[in-house]
Amino acid sequence: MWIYQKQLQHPVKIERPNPRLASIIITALGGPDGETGAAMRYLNQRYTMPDGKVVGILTDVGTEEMGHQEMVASIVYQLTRNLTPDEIIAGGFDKYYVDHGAGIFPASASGMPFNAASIASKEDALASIHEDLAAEQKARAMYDNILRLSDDPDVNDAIKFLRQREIVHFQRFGEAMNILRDKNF
Amino acid sequence: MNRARNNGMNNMNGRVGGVTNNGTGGRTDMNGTNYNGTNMNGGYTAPNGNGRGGRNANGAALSGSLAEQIRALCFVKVELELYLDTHPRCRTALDYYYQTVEELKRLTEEYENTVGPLTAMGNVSTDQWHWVDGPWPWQQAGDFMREGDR
Ligand SMILES: [Fe+2]
Repeated sequence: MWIYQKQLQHPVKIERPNPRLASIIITALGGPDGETGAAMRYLNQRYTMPDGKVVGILTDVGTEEMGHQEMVASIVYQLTRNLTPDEIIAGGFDKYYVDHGAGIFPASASGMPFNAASIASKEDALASIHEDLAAEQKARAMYDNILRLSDDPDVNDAIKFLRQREIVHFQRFGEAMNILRDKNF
Repeated sequence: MNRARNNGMNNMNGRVGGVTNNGTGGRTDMNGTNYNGTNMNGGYTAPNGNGRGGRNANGAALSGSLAEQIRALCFVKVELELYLDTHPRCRTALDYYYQTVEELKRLTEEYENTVGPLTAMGNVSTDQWHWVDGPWPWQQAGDFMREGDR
């Protein structure tokens, strides 16, 4: 079970609405390398993982990813506050808006709803951990791309934090892989 | 798009606008991972603000509002949990963890007595369920319910 703490892991305080950025950053919630997939991937992989330390890292990283879902959703929520129809159209947010309004829906930047096909979970422990190492690098690359496209310092502060967490997770999954190898998996 | 692509090509060393490819101590490279683990000596310091008496595990005073101090200590706690998962016998990390948790308990109690519940169980008022009071974490001041038509 989980206990909710009424606080973001890192502050999200965005001054200026920006529908164009919102339509890009939504992919960090529901896209192929987004936080929804990250949480689902790690939490579902736990059950057949044959080592307690690796179950622990999957549990705790998966839990942190749920907090990251909340951070990304908060960014999109704050970027889309009080928009006029003209701003929605000019910012290219109209295709998202027509289906969801400014409600938060996990989808990729190209509009594809979150799809579990973008994650993998196997009984084979090494296969799953390799999936996780790749996933962290792909998420880091996705955040790199957001930083290339965004010049909003408030957004970038939160995105840089999320990007750095992917690197720490990659490190911990690398250690998990060594633990499995030491046990001859 | 061309510019973004060129930018990417120039950034193969892992830098984007001054962001380095380094995590907390752990160096990553294409050979996989380094196994040296996290540098446990870097006490986390919250952003500046009015001090409220919190301390990190090195004994240094935390700064920022009570909420910021709690957030900073929660970050240390999460980081240590991940580290301990793969280094369960690291004495330094264990000591650091328990000091962090003790300090976090103290600040959480202070917060819940003066501001509001941080978890549902932290609702200390006997006459009202303050758990449902705003602001929720994604909301800004004066943003409890969205104003205006859409
Ligand atoms: Fe991650």
